[in-house]
Amino acid sequence: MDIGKARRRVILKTSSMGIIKSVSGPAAKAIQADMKNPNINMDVIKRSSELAATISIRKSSK
Amino acid sequence: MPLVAVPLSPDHAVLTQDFECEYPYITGYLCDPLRAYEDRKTGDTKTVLVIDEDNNRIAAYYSIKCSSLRIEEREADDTVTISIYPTVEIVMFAVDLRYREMKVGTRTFALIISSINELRQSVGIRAITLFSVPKAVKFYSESNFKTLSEGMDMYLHPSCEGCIPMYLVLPEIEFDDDCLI
Repeated sequence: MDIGKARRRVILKTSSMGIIKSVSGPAAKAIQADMKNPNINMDVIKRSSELAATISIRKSSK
Repeated sequence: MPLVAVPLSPDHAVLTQDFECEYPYITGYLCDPLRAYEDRKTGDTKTVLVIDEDNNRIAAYYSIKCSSLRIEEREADDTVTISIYPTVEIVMFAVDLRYREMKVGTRTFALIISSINELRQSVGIRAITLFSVPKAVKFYSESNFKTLSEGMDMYLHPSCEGCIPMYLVLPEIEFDDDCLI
């Protein structure tokens, strides 16, 4: 194996599919704008809460 | 259809083998006994099964974990402001092939959002993040999730090549609903 190449390889060992390290530029501005106006998503939470109630929850498999 | 959500446990070893969704990687995360179970044991993820009680079959499942969003903003005078927001990432979310077009996905996704919102009674969470397969972007957009692409710096698992990062900012907390410690 080419040692130089092996050293450059990064192996991602995670349970996640990906990890966002950072956001900058226009995308960062968009998120910051949303962060300042979070209540636009209040309806989503209310709707989700109502719909989630159609699934019963069992805290353990027993 | 009566659905019940239950946390993944070793008792589900047989049941999980019957699960199959469109994406082998996401099927494998649940069916391979070393993955979802190991991640639960280490605390890396929490996996919840949504079971069709009539047929004793897994209709959908999801896994979530803590994450964060690091935002860098460069001002006109070249000052860089770095903000780090606590988030919860929906690591896996899938519906079994036999339960598509039956609103199982919509109901399960509502449960995920609602559960994460309830977690805010115990821990700070500012937003929900996920990596969507291209086909599911429309589904998540209907719940106000927004796509992120420009200016992103991320580690991407080879299995999610082509996935699109998305986020939903959670509303402000109602102090009346705030509970305990």
